[in-house]
Amino acid sequence: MSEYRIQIIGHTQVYPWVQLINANRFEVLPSKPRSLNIDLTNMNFIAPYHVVSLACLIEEYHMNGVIIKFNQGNNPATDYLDQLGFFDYWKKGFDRKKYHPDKVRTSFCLWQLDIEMFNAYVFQAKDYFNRHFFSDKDLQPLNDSLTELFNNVVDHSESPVRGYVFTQYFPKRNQIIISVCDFGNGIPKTINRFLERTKGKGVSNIAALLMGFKKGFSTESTPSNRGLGLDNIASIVKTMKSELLIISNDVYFKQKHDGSVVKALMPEAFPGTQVVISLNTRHLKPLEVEDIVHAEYTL
Amino acid sequence: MKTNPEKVVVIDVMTCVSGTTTSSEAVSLFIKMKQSLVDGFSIKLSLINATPMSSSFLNASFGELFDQFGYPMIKERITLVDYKPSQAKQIKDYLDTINKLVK
Repeated sequence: MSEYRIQIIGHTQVYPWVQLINANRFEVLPSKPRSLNIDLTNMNFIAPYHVVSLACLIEEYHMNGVIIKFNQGNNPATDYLDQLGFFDYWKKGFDRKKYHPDKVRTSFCLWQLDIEMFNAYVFQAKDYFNRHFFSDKDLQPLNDSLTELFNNVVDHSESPVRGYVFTQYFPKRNQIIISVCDFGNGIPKTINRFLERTKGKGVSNIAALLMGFKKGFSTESTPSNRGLGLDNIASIVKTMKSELLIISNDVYFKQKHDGSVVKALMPEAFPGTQVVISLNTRHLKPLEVEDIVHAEYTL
Repeated sequence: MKTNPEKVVVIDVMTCVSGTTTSSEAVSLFIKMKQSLVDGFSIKLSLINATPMSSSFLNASFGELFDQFGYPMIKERITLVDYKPSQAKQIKDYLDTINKLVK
């Protein structure tokens, strides 16, 4: 086939978006197209999680040598993507692993996950939001959230498609939203593979995801893992009375600002893991300058 | 493993590592601390200009030392210097947490 077209509708509900992603993945096509046309003319809504999962979807085609084209249309969602520089990302010579400033002052750029850039993204994101919006606030929760999310992808996902991260501040909502997506194994599947290997049988996918939050439970994807990463993320979110959304395999998991949890099985699985952390900026602590202590500290 | 109390080495974290985010970055710090302990040194670990440590970094550095030498040895032979109180607390809390998990 010469061109494959995907009409993108920015669904406000998660599940229709999952269906759209699944229906249009490169691997489901009967033959490799020469080009991919992303049609955004009817895109009426866009959220940070759309940006990263759409980037992963496109990346899969690009990795397979398909030329990427956009039919941008004329609507606020495509204007937003344009200002992010999204339409340049798959042009020849564009390095998606490098920092590219965009025209949206309240966002910190879309970046392709790469172990070489972790430190750069984490510290530059914190520095950016400190300088522009939160000069007197401690943004360590942003730093810690990004770090744990990146390590989760590196240590566990085995994603053949390089994942993406994007951070957007919504001043009127008092939220910094961090969205990370990969097309890897998914958390429940990874955990169940470990359980089947070590205990002889797995558990339901919801139970598997919940096990991932248990302090000390590790699938030992790397020799030094100790099962603290997801618990750390959940603790950060709870302390800041914020929200955590995880869509992984067929599990929808949401930890709300009051600590309550919603978990459900979706009729169709997401091809990997998408995590959205919505940090409530009203609960950022004031920035305190700590003195350096020289006296020896015994552990 | 007997030690001479005068055998003390100062290890500057940020001289050993390129960052404190990933487990792979922690390896060089772990190797340096491990070798010092094997050679009978006590360690003063300097956290001057140290960036916040992720759980993956702590796992691959202090966590590995914990597995190989045990918590009592770490307490006896490693102290922190040039630190911010929050940094010291983070490392201490991490070691206390994994110590509880193995019990």
